[in-house]
Amino acid sequence: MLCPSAACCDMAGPQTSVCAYPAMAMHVEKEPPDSASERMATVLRELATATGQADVHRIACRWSRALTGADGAAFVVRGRTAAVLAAEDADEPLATSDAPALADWVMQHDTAAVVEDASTDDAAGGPGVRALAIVPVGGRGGAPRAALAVYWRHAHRAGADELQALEAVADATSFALASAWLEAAADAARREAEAKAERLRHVQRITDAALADLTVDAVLTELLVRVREALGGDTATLLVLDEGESVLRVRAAVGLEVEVQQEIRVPVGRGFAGRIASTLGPIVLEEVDYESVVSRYIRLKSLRSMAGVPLLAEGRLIGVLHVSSMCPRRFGDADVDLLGLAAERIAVAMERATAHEAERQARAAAEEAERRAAFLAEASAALASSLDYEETLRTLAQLAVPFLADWCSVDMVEPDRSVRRVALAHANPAKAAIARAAATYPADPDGRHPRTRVLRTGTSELIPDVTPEGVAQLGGDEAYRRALAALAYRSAMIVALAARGQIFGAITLATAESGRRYGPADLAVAEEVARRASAAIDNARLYKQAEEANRLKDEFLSIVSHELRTPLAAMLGWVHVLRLDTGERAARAIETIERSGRAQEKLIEDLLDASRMITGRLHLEMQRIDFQPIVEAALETVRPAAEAKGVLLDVVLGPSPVAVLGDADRLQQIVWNLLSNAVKFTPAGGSVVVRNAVARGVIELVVSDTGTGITAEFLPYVFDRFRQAEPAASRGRGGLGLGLAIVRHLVEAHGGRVGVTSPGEGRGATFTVTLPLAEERLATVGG
Amino acid sequence: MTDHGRRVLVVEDDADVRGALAAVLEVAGYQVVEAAHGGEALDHLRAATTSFCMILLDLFMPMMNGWAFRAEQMKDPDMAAIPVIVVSADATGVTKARSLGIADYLTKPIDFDRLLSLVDKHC
Repeated sequence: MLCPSAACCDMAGPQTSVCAYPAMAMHVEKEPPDSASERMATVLRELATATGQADVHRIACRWSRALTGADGAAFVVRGRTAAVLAAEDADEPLATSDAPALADWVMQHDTAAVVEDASTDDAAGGPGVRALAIVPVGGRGGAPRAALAVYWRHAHRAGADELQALEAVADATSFALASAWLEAAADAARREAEAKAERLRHVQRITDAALADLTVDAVLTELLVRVREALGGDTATLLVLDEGESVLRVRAAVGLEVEVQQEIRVPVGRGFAGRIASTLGPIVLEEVDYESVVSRYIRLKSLRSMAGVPLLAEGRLIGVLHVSSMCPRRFGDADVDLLGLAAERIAVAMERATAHEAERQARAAAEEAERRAAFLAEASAALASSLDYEETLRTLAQLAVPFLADWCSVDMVEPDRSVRRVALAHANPAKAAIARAAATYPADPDGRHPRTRVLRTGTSELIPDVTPEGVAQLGGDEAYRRALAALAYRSAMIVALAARGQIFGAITLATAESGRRYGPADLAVAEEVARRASAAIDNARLYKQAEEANRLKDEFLSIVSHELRTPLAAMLGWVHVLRLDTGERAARAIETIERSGRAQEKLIEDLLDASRMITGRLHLEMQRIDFQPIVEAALETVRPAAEAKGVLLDVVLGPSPVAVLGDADRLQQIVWNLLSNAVKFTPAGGSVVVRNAVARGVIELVVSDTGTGITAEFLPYVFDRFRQAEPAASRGRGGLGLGLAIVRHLVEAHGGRVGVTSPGEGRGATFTVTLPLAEERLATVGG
Repeated sequence: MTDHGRRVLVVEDDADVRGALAAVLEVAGYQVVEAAHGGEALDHLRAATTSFCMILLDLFMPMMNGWAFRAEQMKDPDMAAIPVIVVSADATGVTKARSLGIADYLTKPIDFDRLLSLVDKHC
């Protein structure tokens, strides 16, 4: 474009004498010399096919010279000093002339300049240049940055037609250059777009890695590898907030040794990563200042340049991502942008992986919970199916294998405190035999087996890892340890069976083949199973006890009926006799009737006492009394029966008086019951030994007999109501089985204790009553 | 009436009840042999110097109870021929006693008129 307006020319005009011909582009287009316009068309065609700016410059110069008939032409650009870019003359005389300075003036003022004869004008020209014509090229709203110049070696005044031709070429050139520039810009834009696409492909690869089904650590490492690759760094590090969000620690890194990673600990606000975390913005370090680094490793690894961005999840800082290079370099905006994109993807990947992991764990937990619930339901159904709890426990052991264990045993504590294995299940039949052999119950006298502890304390034992050392500690003989070694237990747990404060067994669960390792969740299931089994066993036992109590009650009623009817039969028989015979049989009749009546009275008294004991209405008349006369009175009562039976009474009594606090009648009842019991169960020729002594605040009464004795099985029940050792069909000694129960109740009501020992059936029994002395009792009762 | 036809064996562990039964029967004109349990009763039966028209048998006895005695009695055809009346305080024992193949069953306290009529029927 040439000078676009008169204003521009007015401005240029007064400033230079060489401004002779204002540009008049409109006129150029309106003037129609056919040959000139044809030539211009050719110029335009040629410029349109030009390949690049240099080609445009050459074409412009050639046509400028051709159209003006000048000796040479040049294309001049504006710089600090105008420089000739292309010339039509090989000698390029313009480059050494003053023409560039003039061209600069032309460009600055957007005005053509003409020099007619340089020899008369010092402002232009030079060796080989006498005349000049220079026009500006382009501008498009701004100052032109180029000019087109032609020159003559002789003095020549460029005519209007020559200037017009020159301006037309300049105009066409300007257009061609603009096109070439646009083309170059398009090229640059395309290259930029391609670079961006390449970055996106990097990001895509990064995202691909995130999508792969890997653990979160593998995903992060993969992402870092790609970040480092994309940015050409030596390390890529992902730090996350830790320790109450006050410190950054390495979550994943590439190019750093694991030991170094573990060592890194950057406080938020300090150091390179710390400042990124506190400012929440990217930081680029072209040259690391080793004096101020926080992490030793930066110097160790000779890291020189770094770039880092914050890692944000939903606007919240979760960490820092940075890359470092050992070669000094400047990470540019594009690098930071890419790092930011990667950080976004990493944050997403971390969240996705966390969510995925949480989902996976939740699903696994749900499945496990479902399996446990199913097992517990099955176990509960089995437990509820039978009142035979041993059968139930066998079923339970079968259910536990393989769901909960490869091996399951149930051991029960017997009434005599020994332990008996009631159930055993093994997943591996070959090992079941070994397990049974090992189960030949080692008495474990030292209590070293964890099961012994469980049976004692009721506290579960979890042994996640069974070790040879642990097995060695179990004690037992060599064969036992060999068996255990052959069973190759991996993990074990033992839970107690207990209800209402009583530990009555233990369930042992162990794994071997499955390699499964027990944890707290497994123990919880085992405890739940044990709890349910315990409840079932307790119910079964209570049911058995209730059944037994009911049976005892029926038996007792039958005995009461029998015992009351027997003397009645005797009385009514003799009454019958008396009706017919009042002679010689009368005395015996009356005697028997009286005795039978008294026997019945005694039975009824015992029944009433038992009833009072049960309902808590047994009344005692407590007073301070001497115990010895009470023993003597009871002895006198029982002596006739003993003599009649031929049982020797061997009595040695201690000092008198011995004061106790008690009800005289009831105390006598205690002694009489024990003595008559002893006489009753001692055959003719046997003896009953009675001793008493005072010691440590108590008086002790011992009644031993050489009678039928008591079996070990019956011993614990001797003092129970309604209990009699002999079965009803062969019982010949009579009685309601209440005597000893009454004894115990009365003794305890007096603050004393009663016990029994017997070496066994047929070997007699010894009953021992201890009663506190009156002083002791007053002291404890407080009055 | 033959001599043995008037002789009754009373098997009862309670001395007072045994004495009462014996007295009632003696007053009615029977000879009575007493046994405190099944073993003694068998001894009397095996002595063979005497024979019995009737056995009154208690069930719940020490040494040898009623059931055991009855089992032994049935092994000997001569003894087995002697009718047995069970006299027991156990009212619920009727069914059990029936299985012994006995003549009759009386519960304590005993209806002595009925007892005498039953004994009279067999002796």
